[in-house]
Amino acid sequence: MSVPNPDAAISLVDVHKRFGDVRAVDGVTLDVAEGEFLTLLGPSGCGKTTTMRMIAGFEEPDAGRILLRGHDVVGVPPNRREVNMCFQHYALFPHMNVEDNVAYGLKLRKVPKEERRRRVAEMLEVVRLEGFEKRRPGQLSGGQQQRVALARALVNRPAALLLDEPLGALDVKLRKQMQLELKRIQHELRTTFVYVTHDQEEALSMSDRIAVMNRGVIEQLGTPREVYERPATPFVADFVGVLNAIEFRADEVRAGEAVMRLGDGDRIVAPAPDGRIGGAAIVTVRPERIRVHTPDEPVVGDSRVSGTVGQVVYLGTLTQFHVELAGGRRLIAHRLSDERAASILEGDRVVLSWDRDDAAIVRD
Amino acid sequence: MTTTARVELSAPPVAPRARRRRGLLGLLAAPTGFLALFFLVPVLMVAAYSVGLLTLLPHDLYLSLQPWRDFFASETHVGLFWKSVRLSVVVSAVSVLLAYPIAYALALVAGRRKYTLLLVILAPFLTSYLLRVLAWRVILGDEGLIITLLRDVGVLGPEGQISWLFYSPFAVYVVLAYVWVPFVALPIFVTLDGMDRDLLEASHDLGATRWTTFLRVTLPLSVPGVVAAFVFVFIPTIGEYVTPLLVGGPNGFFFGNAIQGAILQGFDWQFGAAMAMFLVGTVTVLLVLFGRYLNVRAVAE
Amino acid sequence: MRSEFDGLMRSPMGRRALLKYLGYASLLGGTGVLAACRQDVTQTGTDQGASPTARPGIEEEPGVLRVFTWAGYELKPVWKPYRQAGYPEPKFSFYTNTEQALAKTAGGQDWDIAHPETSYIQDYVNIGAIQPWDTSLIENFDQLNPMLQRAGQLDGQQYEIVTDWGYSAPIIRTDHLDPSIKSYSHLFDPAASGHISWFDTPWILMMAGLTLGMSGDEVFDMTPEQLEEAKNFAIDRKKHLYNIWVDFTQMWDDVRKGVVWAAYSWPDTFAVLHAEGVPVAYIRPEEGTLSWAEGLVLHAETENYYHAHEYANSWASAEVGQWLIENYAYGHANLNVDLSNVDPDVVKVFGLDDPEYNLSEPVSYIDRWLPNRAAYNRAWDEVKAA
Repeated sequence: MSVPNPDAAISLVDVHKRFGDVRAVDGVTLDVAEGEFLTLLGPSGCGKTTTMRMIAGFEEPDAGRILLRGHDVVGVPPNRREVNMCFQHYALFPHMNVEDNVAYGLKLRKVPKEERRRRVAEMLEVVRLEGFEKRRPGQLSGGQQQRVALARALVNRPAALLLDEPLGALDVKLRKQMQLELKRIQHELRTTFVYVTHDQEEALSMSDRIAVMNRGVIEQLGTPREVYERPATPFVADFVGVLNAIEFRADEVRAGEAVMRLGDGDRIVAPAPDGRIGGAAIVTVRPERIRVHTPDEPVVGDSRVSGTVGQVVYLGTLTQFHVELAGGRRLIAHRLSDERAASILEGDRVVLSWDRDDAAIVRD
Repeated sequence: MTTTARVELSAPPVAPRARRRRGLLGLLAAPTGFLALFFLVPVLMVAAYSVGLLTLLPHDLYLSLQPWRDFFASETHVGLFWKSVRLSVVVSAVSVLLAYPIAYALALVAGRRKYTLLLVILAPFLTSYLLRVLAWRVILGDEGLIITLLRDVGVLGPEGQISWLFYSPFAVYVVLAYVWVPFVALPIFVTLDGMDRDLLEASHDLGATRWTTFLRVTLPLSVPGVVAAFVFVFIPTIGEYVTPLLVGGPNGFFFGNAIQGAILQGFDWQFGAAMAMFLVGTVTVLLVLFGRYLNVRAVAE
Repeated sequence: MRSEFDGLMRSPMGRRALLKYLGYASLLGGTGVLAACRQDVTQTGTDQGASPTARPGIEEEPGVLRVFTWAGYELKPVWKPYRQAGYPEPKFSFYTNTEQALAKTAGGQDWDIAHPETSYIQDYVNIGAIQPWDTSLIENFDQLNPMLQRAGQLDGQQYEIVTDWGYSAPIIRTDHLDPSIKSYSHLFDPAASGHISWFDTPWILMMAGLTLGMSGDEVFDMTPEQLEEAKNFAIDRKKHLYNIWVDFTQMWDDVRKGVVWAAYSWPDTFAVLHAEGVPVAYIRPEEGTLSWAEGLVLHAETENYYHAHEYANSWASAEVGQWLIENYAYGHANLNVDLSNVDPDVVKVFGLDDPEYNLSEPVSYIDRWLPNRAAYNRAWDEVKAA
């Protein structure tokens, strides 16, 4: 039984929640540090939203403890918890203007009128909506509404802000803008943010730490770099970023590395820190770590495989090459879209190479 | 290039849009015609009778406003109009007050069973109106449930009566409210059901108790439904005459009864038509006002 | 005895009252449309004095009579002699109250024979819808009660063959009220407060007038002052009412249960309740009993002149009269009706054994046309509204 960190803003200790036969949250333990931006990342049904709702108080866990700044809050209704939530569809009160929306929590706490006015104005400045007090939600764009929702929650100075996929309803460009905005606001106010999303790019770009969840459990908790570059489980590897995965069979194990030979001089070298590989294993490597060589180019790298270009996908900054190898295997390689990349066409024979430490072996 | 020239030379075809419009008009003609013939025309005819444009019997006045003058001069009949207005206001208010908790429970508490329960509430409409009204005799009448109960318990003597329970204006109010509550629950239910649940959670999250959430969020947002329900009851009830006939007793005579009496018993078509047109006029004005109110709200939002 | 009165449940007079309150939409809509596209009945000349010699003989008439009447009067026993004589079955159409019938007629509805109350004959004449009967063509005419037939005359012409009649008078519970008081005052009696039931009709005003001492002739033609007096009296006594009945079976039930002690009623009420053994008495007021009478009128432009007379003759027969009394408890105009199957108490109360005497003034006052009907209706409205 893990001991919760007494300094944590939020602590979840072995929390379980079932809906009928479905185990939505199946033993989650998590500490969220003060001022941290933590993201719960995972596909639908992984339990991230349920976990958040339990922190907010809209669901009660079947087992386990939830602490806010050291206080046990299981059984405490949402209106008496010191956390506030931002909803995916904003949930602004349509019959009130922006000012009344933002001031709602303050009014309930009987904050005097002048102070209310001041704090609302302050908060609107923070979210860059000065002067919008008298507008109505129906007159605002999606991004503006989201900022009002943010202001409404933050003006109460909660111990933590819970954001439930808040940018899901926005278009891509706006979403990226808002991501930066959110990050800025969080830094400015130093409020603890707990963010829920299924978009791994979003999670990577905004978070201090990410908890990758699947089927009610946290598969990995770490910084974005850790999660991306050293995924702990196949699921994480597959979910976060595009990942190549090839079944690995060790032909030779030598000092700290394992080698799989594929014929024609092709070989895959992967790090094996404990010197042993078990039976079935998968080697993973990120597409941007793979170099694409045309036949006339020199090849440098620990691993090298040759194949035929199946598909070329132009992504703007990057060009994505889907390469078919011998034996039905496929690899995706990313290359900056330079002139060289443009000259590689479908059907061309290429050689892919990468360094040993850019790959990882993941047990099944 | 040659193709464009060829098109210019031939005669311009009937634009598909115009053809579609004609088709739409044709489709609308039938229901509009039906409405015109069976609604507008009779109303216009009643209006014609009220000013003597049409006359039925030899002693009717031709082209005269006398029926209208008689109506406005008659304290009794104008008084009956106000009596009916009072009836409508009270019945509408009571119905709404009773229906609101029902609609609320259905929309926000009942969960998966809400549509089944809705059906249960609407089920009485499958039975005859007359039966449902007369069933009240069993409850409120002499030898009815209430009187018998009070006699058994001793509050009333063995022959005791409460005359105002049945065959009285009180009975009219009770029966009408009872009949209208399920109708009224419907628009309120629809409004509440359509409300974004997230709003309620947001309110809780920000620190409100359930009661405060109801007062500050649910109630204000349900006002359009409530107003619609109120008007929905108010307008037909002003002209109500069947229920007063059945349970109203000697003092249960309302404006609708006066109209019915004038036209069906009294041979006084012109007077009755004037009263009927007055009712139609009042209702029209109310509908227009109500419609404006709704539009104003929509703009404000 | 009970079985003979099963037919009372279909008693037209009662159904009249009930249907009165259940047939409105059709009236307003139907007669409105009719009125809008009517042929102006008032303009076409009334064929009042057409000499019989100008008519085609009975064989040339279309033959199928169109009879416009109350529901219940289309049953076969009612026109049995007509049928037995071999005439074709008439086509019946129905109305639920006389005003509706008149309105429809004014709107252009065609019929050969109608069945209004005596008080409306003048209205039919006013819109030019009817012509007088030729009583020489009606064999049974001399068997008919002359008192009644007089009520069917206008300007010396027999516009209506009066066929059936009844009383409108109080029925009282003898265990609560005194049957020896023979007056309409029972309906206004403070001693019966909370147990009185009126019917919805301006006749209450006439009964009020009689109770106040006006004569039988006066109440059918009240001066504005008299009307005012009767109205105020009715308003004053209205507070003693239990209800104003709409459905006569409901009223029967109330009297049966003893909830109502004095009710405005027609003869069928007494016949039914007395047969059940309920302690009731039907009051024949000394001020004079108000009686209604109705019968057949002939359309001014009928093409079935002779057939109509045969039909009227059939109605006037003693045979039909007997059936009517036994099944509907209504009086019939024929003086030779066989009363052997009728409860003797009923015969005595309604004076069926001597109808001529019982229907003559001052014993009874037969319903007649009200010259100021509108004033009566307005006054009655005020009583109801009070």
